[in-house]
This record gives sequence, C-alpha cells and structure tokens, in this order.
Amino acid sequence: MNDKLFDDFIKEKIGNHVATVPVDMWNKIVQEKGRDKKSIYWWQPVAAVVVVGCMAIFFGWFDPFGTSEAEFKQGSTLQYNAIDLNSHGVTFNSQLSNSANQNSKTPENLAPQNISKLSNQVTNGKAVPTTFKDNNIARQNIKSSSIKSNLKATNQRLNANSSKNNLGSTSRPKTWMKNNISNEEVQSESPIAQVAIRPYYDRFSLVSIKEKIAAQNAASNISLSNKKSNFFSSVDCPSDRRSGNHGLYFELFGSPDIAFKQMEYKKVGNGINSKDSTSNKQLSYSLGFRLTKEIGQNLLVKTGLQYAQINERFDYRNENERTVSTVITIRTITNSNGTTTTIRDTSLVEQIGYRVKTTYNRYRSWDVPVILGYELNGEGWKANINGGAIFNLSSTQQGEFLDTSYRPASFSKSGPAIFKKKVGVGLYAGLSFIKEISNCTSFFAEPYIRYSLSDRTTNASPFTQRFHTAGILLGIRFKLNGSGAAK
Amino acid sequence: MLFEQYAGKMLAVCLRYTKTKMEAEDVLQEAFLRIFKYIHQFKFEGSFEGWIRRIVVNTALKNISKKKINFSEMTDYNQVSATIEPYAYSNLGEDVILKLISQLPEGYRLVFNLNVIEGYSHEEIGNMLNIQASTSRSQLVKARKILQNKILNIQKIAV
Repeated sequence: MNDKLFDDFIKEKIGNHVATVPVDMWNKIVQEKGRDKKSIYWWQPVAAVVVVGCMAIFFGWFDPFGTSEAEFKQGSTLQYNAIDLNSHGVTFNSQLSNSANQNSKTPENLAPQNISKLSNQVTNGKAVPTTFKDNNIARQNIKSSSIKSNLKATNQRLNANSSKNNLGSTSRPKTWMKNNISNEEVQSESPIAQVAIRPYYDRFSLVSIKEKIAAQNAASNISLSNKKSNFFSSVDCPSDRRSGNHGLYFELFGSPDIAFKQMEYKKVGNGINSKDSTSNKQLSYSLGFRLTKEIGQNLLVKTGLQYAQINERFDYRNENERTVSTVITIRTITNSNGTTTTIRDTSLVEQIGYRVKTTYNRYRSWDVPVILGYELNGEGWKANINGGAIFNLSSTQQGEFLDTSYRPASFSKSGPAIFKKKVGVGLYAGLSFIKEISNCTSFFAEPYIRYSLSDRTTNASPFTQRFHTAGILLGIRFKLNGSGAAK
Repeated sequence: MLFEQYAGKMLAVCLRYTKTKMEAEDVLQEAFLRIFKYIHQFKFEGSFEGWIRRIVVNTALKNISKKKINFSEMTDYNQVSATIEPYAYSNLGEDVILKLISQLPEGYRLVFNLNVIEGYSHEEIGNMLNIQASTSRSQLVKARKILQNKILNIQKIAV
C-alpha cells in the first residue's frame, strides 16, 4: 500500500468520526453567549427616549410648543383652581365678607365684580395676618398666550372695577411687592380665564383661611387629577367646528393575511424558478393594538404595536434517495432422509427512490404603524381612509430555503445571517368600516395593503426577497374619553 | 439545530488536536462561540460544515499555539513501513486509529491531521504553524511511517 492509499484509508476511517458530546456542553455555550449579549447597544436608550417622547406628545402630557416649566405648573393648577373656587367659593367669600356675591358659586359665574369686592374685603379686613405692601397682582402672572387671548376676548364683555385694587397695609408682618391685580386677571367667565385668579387666591388663602380652605388636603391629589384630566382632556377648547373633545380610541385587531413574495436571485439566473417551486404560500396573520386620536376635523392619527407572521411551506424532493435494509430470509429444507434444516440468509436490499421534505417557514416581525386617517361619517357607521408607514422594530425568521446548489439550507434566528433583523419601513393603505355596537364600543373591518420598501435579505444572501401583504383587519374599537358614542 | 448537527463531528476534530478530552471540550466550546459570533460572515461559497470545521481547526491551533510545539526529528522507520501489507489495515477500527494518531509526537500529529484529514497543503500548513513547507513535508513523512510501524506492530501481536 502506497502513501496515498494509506492516507485515503486513514481519512476515510476517521474523517467523519463522531464523538459523544457531553450533555451540558450546550448549556455552557449558552451561558457564555449570554454574557456577550448583556452589553447594551447605544441606540437602545435613544430609541426608548424617542418612543417615550412621541407617546408623551401624542397623549398631550406636555405641550411641546408651550411654555416653560413654571408656566406648565401654573397651567396644571388651572383646573384645580377652577374646581376649588367652585367648591369653596361660597365659604371663601362668606368668611371674608358678608357682602360677598352669591354669584361666586361657580367659576363661570365668578364675575369680576366679585373679585374686586373680595379684594376690597381683603384689603379692609382684619383677618389678614401678613403684610401686603403695594400688593398688586401683576399682569405678568399670566404667561400663557392662549390664556391671554381668551382674556382679551372676554375683556370687552367684562368691565372690572378692580384694575387698581391695591391690597396694601403697613401693619402686616409679611410683605409682597407690587401685586397688582390687573384688568385681565379678574375679567373672566370661562374656566380657563380663572387662572388669573390663582395668584390672588393662593395668596389670599395663605393669608386668611389656611385652615379653612382644604386646598392643601387636595394638593396631594393635584398632580394625579391634573394628569388624569389632561389625559382625557377635560379642559378642552371647543373649536368652532366640533362641539366636544377630540376623541381617543383604543383598537384591538387581528387579521388573516396573504403574503406576496417578491424575490430575485443575485447570481444564478435559473435558480429562481427552482426556488419558487419549493415555496408555497400559506395563510398568514397579524395581531395588534392601535391608539387613534382625532387631530382635527375628520382627521385621525393612529399608532400602536403589531405582530405579523408570514407563513410559507417549503417542499423539497430529494431524488436518488437510497435506503439500505437488512433482510433475513429463513428457509427450511428437508432432505431425503427426512432431516429438516433451517437456513437463515441475511442480505442487504437497497431501495432507490425519492424523499419529500416539508418545512414550514415562519417570518415574524414586530412593527409600529404610524397612520393618518380621514373619517367619513354616516348614520350609525363611519368609514376611515387610512394611509401611512409601518416601521419594523424586529424581525426573525426560521425555516429552510433552496441554496445555490439546489440543496435545502436551514435558517433561523441564530442561523446564517441571510435575513435582516430589521426589515425597515413599509407603506400602508387601508379602508376601514366602523359599526357602532354600543356607546363606547365599535366593531371595525379594515381591508389593507402593506407594501415593503426594502428587502428582508442581507447583502450576504444569494437572493433578494421581500414580502407584500394584504389582509383584512377585524377588531374592536373602544372610546377612551368623552361620554359620546364610539365613532 | 446547528449545535446538535455538528457538535459530535467537531468534537472528534478537537480530540485529534488535543491531548485530553477536557481540553477538546474547551476548544469546542470556544469554537462554537466564534461560530455564532461570525456566522453572518458565512458567504455561502462552500459547504457550511467546511466553514465550521475551519473555525474549529483554527481554534484548536490557536489553543495549541499557546504551548511551544516541538517539531523534532525521530528515528527513520523507512525499512519497517516497506513490509506492511494492505490486509493489515482492514481490521483497524476508528478508535484504534485515533489512539495511534494521538500517540504521535505533537508536531507530527498536527501536520498529519492538517494534511491527511483536513486536506491543507504544506504551504498552508507552513503558514498556519509558522514553519517551513519542507518541514511540514518531512514531518508528514515521518508521522506516516510511525503510524504504519505501529499498525504493523498491532498486526504482529494479533497474529
């Protein structure tokens, strides 16, 4: 035997030798792998901040075009003041002065004359322990432009006598400088305009009726109540077009989908047909939720989170499949002497045929839709024309495909990186029909099309592939704010 | 699953390059971590198993390179190997062959594994082990002779 034969013999013998792997080997690898994955990518906190910011803007937790923090604080106490005046107005006035105006029972009816009277009472009363020196509540207390505009609007109808109500006294120990109550501050009928009263009211409460006004008790609830009221927009400016609040809806939906695959081989031109013949379309689906907010006359903006799974069946027929079976044949031979002999023959039988391999491919993705809708109103029903973009957050795949040598190759989350982890952006168009089923609940059906703008495959992949889907979203819509029926 | 499919074969590869099973398991673990880390670099230009095997071999060599390898010259077995007959090989099992290979001096063993089993050329082996190609050739010849001699000895005992 020469060297080459010797080498071939050795290679044949041990080239494909398989050793027994310890049971815990995989666990050790997973542990080691986990240590690597713990590192946080730089974009994760950035993405979190962006998402939270978008949500905050969307729900109106803060006004991105508004005022400073101090102004925000003032704005946030607006409703509280209005309510507080509403609930305590009578007591407040009666304690200060017997001549307090009964119209102060509600903030809407809190006429400027009352304020001026109150101011006078405060000025003349003995109950105020602190010193007011030139106590004019300044106009600068009102900083919000919207409030100013409201005040200007109401200014023509209301004529205050308190333009120069100085709350002054030289005998009081505590001093506030230049707290002038201006015309605008005391001229209001709307709850928004009541904010002007706040400085006066706050200071007054500090001065005279600390223990009486339970504002301090309610103070702990201010932030909560304000947030709640902001969230459901209890204080809302009615527009000239709509009479009520801008609606906020929560939508839950599911959809049977059909995926349309668009693919192209990069190198092997005729491979596309073979690959196409191995993959068969299957019913796919989407699930998710959306928050819908009215942003104007018949205009809606929708965003949320959705999960989509595209299903595909991969069939591969492996020709020349050889199966070797061991066959034992038992024969009994009886000779002329009557002796019976049993003969066992062992033989190998080779069968040649084909084997069909079936694998179910799954393409999963988590997406954030950002959709703009236009609403059409009917009698008991509504329709939305929707269009927007769908941003992919994460995408995973598993299954098998035909590689360039026409052999099945598997892919998975951890497998060869032929698919992207983020698919990118897709376009969305849909038409939803909404049927009201109760005051706050509606049913909707939305046929839609989703068009992918980028490939699912990476540059390393031998082919490009993208999926476009069509389906019909079926879901329930809940109205989150307002008492009206769900639209 | 990737690991289940290739771990057994790759552990066998590791065992050929290491002295102990524990050492082989360490090499395999490190190799699979590298496989998962760089799997996106696989270009589908060869067999996937070949790509994995290359990573495992490189990891094993990296592990070995921490130790000083002695590519020593040993006794010439030329006369002995000439007398060996083909039938002497036929009854050899995988385990016996692996054991014989593992008994080779480290330098011989490396070159023999890389050339005969993995199919690397002497130039490639020279680059991988930082030795001359001629050194690789001579190491292979001697490794082969040692192995043949050992096989003959086994045969003699069996007879």
